[in-house]
Amino acid sequence: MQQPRITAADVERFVECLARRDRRAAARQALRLLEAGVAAQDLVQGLLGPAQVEVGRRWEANQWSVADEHAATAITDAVLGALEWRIEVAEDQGHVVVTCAEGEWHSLPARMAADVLRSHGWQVTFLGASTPADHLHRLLAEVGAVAVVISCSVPIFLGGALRSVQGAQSAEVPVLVGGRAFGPDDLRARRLGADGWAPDPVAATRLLASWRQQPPAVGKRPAGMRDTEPLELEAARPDLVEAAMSELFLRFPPLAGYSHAQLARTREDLGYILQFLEAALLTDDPRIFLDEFLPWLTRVLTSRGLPAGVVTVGLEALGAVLDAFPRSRQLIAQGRQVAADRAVNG
Amino acid sequence: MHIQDGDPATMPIGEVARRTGVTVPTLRAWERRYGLLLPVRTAGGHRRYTDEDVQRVQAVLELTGQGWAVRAAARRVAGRRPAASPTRPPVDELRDRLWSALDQALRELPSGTEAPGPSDEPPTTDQAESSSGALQAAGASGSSVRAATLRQRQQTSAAAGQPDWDVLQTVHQATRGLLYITSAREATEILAAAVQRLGGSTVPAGQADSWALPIDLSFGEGEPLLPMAEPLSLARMQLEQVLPGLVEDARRAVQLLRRSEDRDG
Repeated sequence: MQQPRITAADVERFVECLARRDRRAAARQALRLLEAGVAAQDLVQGLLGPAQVEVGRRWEANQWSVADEHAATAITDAVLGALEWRIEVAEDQGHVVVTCAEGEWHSLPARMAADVLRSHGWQVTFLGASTPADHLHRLLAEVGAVAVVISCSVPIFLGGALRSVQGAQSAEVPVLVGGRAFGPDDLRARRLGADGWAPDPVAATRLLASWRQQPPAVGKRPAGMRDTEPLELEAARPDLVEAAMSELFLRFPPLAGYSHAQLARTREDLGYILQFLEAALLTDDPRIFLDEFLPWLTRVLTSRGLPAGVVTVGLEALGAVLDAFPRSRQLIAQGRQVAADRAVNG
Repeated sequence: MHIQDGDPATMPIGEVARRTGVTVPTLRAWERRYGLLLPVRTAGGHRRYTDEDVQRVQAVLELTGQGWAVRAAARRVAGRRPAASPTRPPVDELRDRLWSALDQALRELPSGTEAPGPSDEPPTTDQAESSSGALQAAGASGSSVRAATLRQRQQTSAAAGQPDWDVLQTVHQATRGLLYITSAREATEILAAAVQRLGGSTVPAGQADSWALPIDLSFGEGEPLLPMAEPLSLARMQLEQVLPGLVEDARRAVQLLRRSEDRDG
């Protein structure tokens, strides 16, 4: 059967509804496509997903404020809610629990995954944002679930994801992880000890179906990193940020003229750098820091009028206070090289 | 990578978190700031914790439940010798007391506001699904006996780890309020009131700083509104424990309302 396709123009029109903060127009457009024969899961992955990517891009480029981004996300979320009633469930594949990793409050991607799973016949219990790992453990210990799906969107919450994975596995329930934080392959998922990884919700349905036939040995995959440096780094983060601020005053004279709010923002940025560093160390995957975070941070700061060199200076200040953290210092040095090249080459 | 339930002298910090309901970053902060936890090092340099560490965290929770500030409570407990707290009832007893109090409250609900407490027939309608006042409630579509039973169990298990009766009451009241909303705006107001009762506040997303939790309470109507609380405060901890489930329930209530009004169709 030939199904109508979702075009780039459809996505553009939907984003315009978000820009006008017009929830009803956004819902009408999605429901029109549904009535025209587009499957609900295709709407999720072909319309709402790409629209949210555009929302993120507009914030990153400083075209939209944080408030605009939240308002748009709330509307996409509401449209998803309207679509949920129209998802027809053909068969009962079994029961899965879907949740965000501990600390991860971005629930929309997880909700999208939950709805795609539902449309594939799974009975889904959706727990929402940031479920504490101990809640997840207690819940899973009492209900029968084929698996738990743990979503993580931002790499700084991979430490929370690790606790969620362990909490679930200690209840003997297999864990499938997904979301942008896990990157383009299964490396981070394996390092966190998850039983499976899926690049998208449809792939997740296939893996879950195979688990239903042949349950995996829970937690029997190669364990993650045993090194405690990321945890030590997390504990020391507030002190390191303060020490790096002192360094930054020496290395970056304009800082002396910063307002209180600008200084607070600078502290926050240094804290984010350390958090992404922790995530890269935790998963032993430097791509988190070098390929994903630093280019993103550079784009965000330069689109807000800061010189690209400011990232390099920030990394130098942090590098100067990380004597007790050899892996961190090495990664910072690599990052400084990447940022310096980027600043030179535009 | 398994959490070991076994030898109490070799608990990783995740196990302390699991037993106390306090998140790992908060535990680490308490260890660093107040010396509340006294880990021993394994040969490989890993920190390991004992039952006494768990008890100290429980003691802090008990004091904060009585209105102490976290800083004062943690300093007091950290300064105490382990033998100096013999009068504190065992954790299990506290949990039993809390659970029976919740059970009692659910039994005393006015008729017509059936909560998914112990009953012969699990609720199976959409209405019953949205009426679950669970701390950790799910927003599962596809109403079924299994989902309803699951909610009931969630409620039990969440209560077992939740040390504060006021928190339970706040969540319960908010969830009941959600059954009677006539607009999305009212759901937002109920959530904002609950956040305040838990010691937090709300802030428009445009003015939010790092104290804000990135979970919008507006449901796509009006200005985005975020809950906020000081990092590592009791209010923050309580919000982190109960807000995910509560917001999910509110979202469900708003969806049911919009569906009944057929605004989207």
